[in-house]
Amino acid sequence: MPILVAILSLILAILSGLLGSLLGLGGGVILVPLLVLLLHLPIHTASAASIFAVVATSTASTSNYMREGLTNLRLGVFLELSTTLGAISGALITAAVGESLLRVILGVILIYAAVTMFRKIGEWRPHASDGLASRLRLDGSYYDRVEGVEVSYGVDNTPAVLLLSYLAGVISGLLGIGGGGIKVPAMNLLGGVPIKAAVATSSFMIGITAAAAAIIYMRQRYCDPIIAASVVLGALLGASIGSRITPRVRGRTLKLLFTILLIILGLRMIHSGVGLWMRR
Amino acid sequence: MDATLRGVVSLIMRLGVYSSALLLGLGISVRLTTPWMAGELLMRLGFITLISTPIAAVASSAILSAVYGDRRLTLTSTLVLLILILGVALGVV
Repeated sequence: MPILVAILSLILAILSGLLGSLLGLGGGVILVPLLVLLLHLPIHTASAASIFAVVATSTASTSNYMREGLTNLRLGVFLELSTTLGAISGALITAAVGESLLRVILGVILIYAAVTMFRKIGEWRPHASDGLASRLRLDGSYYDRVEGVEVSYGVDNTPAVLLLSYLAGVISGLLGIGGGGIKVPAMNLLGGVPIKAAVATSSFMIGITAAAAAIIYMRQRYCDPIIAASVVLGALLGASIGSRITPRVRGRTLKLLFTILLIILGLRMIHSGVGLWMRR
Repeated sequence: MDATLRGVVSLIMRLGVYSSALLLGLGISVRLTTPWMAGELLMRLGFITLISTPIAAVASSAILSAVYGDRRLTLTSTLVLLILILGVALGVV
């Protein structure tokens, strides 16, 4: 029986790792419900395994994205500063905030981001870096394999992107999710970072925050080693495949996939928020 | 400097991926097929390797940028590490 559960967890983690790396998410929002609903694992075991899977997805994706030159390391480290601060703030105010309301608000934000992304699906023009981004040298470039051109970009509206990264951190601390659903649209729509670079940079950032959370899970011993190990192996495999696909996909297709997933996640958040509120 | 940094981080990430996959794969096989404690130990080592990989990437960014005299990146990377340590110490990240 444990072998069967381990194999099924591994298969589900391949799927979450693939989607997570393709779209710059940790994959936890996909994996936890699958583990709980399909394999009937306790939520604590599923969440702990998922945190390790998020680190695995991020690590495997970043190793490929970095080689392709897609990850903007400077931008990632800079935004991670506000995300980590946000995660700490979020975790500290958890008790004071109603989770049901928060889930509904996040759901609405995700759907808004999805609609905005869909409306601007074919549009991307390189932005010039603003003052802060220029001082911090946050601009980047990469070779787009599909278009066959070198894409150079600056980072615009840096304070707003920084603020949204902080918000993503707060939500991640409050709800235990990665926050890629906010960071990728923020970098792409506000900052003018191309979708592939935004996905790769978000993948890198998510792993750093999740690694710190994983240390806490390990200390609290919520983690079932066999499930967590299977899930990590699956996520590593899925993310290695996903991050090899991303550079070969058109930015427009990636944006469309991201929009669909944002709508699903948004609706799920609103549904779970309303469900929580009804149960009270 | 950016190219060197990207190369180093990419190498750290690849080493982390392969070594944690190897340790976890071995650990899970030993744990499921034998009564030995070595399986648990290998899996634990695999998790530690995996978790330390992204943190090592940020640490390498702090060290390399300091070596190349990029004060802003050194400061940002060091602050990220310090905030992470604070978060872990408080048990809230």
